[in-house]
Amino acid sequence: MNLEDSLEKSNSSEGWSKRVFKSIPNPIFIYKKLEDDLILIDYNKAAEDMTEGKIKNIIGVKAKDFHKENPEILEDLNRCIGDKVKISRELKYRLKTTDKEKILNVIYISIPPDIVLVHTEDIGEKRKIEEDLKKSEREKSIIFENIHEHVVFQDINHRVIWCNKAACESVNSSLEQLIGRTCFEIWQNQDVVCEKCPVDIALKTGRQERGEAITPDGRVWNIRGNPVRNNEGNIVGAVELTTEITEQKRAEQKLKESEVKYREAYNRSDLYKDLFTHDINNILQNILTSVDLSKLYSSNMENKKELKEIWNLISEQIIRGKKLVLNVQKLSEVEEVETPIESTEALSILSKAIEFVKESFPYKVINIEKESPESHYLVNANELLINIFENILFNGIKHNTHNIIDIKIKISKERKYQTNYIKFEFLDNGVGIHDSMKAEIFSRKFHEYKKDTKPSGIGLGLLLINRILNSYNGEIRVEDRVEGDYSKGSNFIILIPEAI
Amino acid sequence: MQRLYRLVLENAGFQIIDTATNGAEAVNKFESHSIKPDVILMDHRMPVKNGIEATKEILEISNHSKILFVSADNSIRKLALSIGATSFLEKPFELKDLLKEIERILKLSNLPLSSHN
Repeated sequence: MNLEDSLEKSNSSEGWSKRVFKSIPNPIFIYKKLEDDLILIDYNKAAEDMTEGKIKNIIGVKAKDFHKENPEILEDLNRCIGDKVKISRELKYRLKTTDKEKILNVIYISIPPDIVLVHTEDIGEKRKIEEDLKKSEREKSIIFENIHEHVVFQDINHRVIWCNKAACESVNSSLEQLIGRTCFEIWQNQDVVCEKCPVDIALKTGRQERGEAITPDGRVWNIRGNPVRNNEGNIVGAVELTTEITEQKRAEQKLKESEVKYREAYNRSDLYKDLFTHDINNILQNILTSVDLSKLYSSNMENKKELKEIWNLISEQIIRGKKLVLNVQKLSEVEEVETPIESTEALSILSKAIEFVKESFPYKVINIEKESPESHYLVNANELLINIFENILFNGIKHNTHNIIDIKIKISKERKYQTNYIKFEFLDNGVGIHDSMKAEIFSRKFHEYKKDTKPSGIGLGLLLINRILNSYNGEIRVEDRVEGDYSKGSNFIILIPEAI
Repeated sequence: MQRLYRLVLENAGFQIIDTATNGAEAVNKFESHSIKPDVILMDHRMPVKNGIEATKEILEISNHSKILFVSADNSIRKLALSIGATSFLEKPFELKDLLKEIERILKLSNLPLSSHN
């Protein structure tokens, strides 16, 4: 059959099917076998549109000639007609008629005895959308899988639907191992929702909620719960975003502790400065008044006795000033340097302190008596022990208006709170300490070194004693020398742990 | 220091009625004495009760009392004067300044300068 015959047959006898064929929205090409080749004999409107009308110039053209640059099309046409098989293929094809590149889904259908129907569908747009979607998915996946933040998508019952790599790795599990389990079971090892869970609250309120949580391993987390709604606006789940803030919390805690330490150190230094200023001014006042008085007395030789007394006073004030400076130095030492504690023989240190104190007040009559059943006592102390004894003795002498100053030192052992202590009691006949002051002297307020809460009358000496004893895990308290009558003098009682 | 003040003031012709070692003792002794002192020398930093509190209480007992506040702490000056202290001397002060101030206070009370308490 020649070409004209074929065309005429298809035009005249199959009117409605031809209309259907012509109106199919996808381009269709009809090939007919002619000798050893195939020729295009018909096409539909969609094919005409796709080729911008130029398809009509291809009618009668042999496939071998037209598709010589596309051997795969020739092969499919021949295989289809030869083997009578349907072939389906995706093809990227540059139309010769329009020079436009298309991505086509091509189906070759054999219609015996000699027709091949080639159905094409332009899937370029669809492919582009698919590619874009894949690219978007890949990008999202890269983002989610590379962020440190945990991303967990859960349903309204807190069951995991999906989570990212970071979330999986935080519990050493794969995604498959986590899907379907509740978040509180996975991350908190419990079978109920966590108290104040931001995700749970978000599911109820429909708003983003925030909170913090600590997992059983001690790590701290910042959690944000974001409700997820469907197209109807109903909440169908939540996305949990979690960031570990353990290090941040530790740093905050350290900062707080630093601030407290700094504040304490500042208060201490403020207190020392205040005490030092006050004491130095009093010392200077005493010296100045003494000098003024001595000028008055020096004109009259009958005032020799008073003059001598004044000069002794001046000397005492100098010694007091020296002691003040030494105490400040020692306080700084105690604050800044940790001197190791070791087994120290206390009686020899006490003897040195007594000697030093007596030499410091050569014009006073000072009786210091020791009462000790044993000849040596070992305590857990260090080189600062002498400062404790010196300051206690100094205080007993400084706050004493008697002509003869009596101090009795009793040494014994005491067991307290399952610890053995060596007890030193310093009983003086000084002015004593009022009952209201006794509790305050060694109270916590005093330990906090706040200037405003410092009880009046407390000097650097007692501060120093307290600091040193604290470092020994020792104790100090004060009682009346004569019970019930503070004006008869004080009994300073010091406990220092016995060295084994 | 009390011993020094005593020497200084007695040498200047004043009679010391009494002394106290803390603010509470000062108030009690002031209250108990039938003859009140013409001038009270009040320190600030004392045990039990400080100079400010003692001053307030003494002035409640007798608001004509003349109190010469002495302290190494100059930040107390304004407060001491505001609660009724007659004068304030910052330590360390010279003997002549102390006596001068006492004389000034006594003149305010129109009291003769000799034989004061």
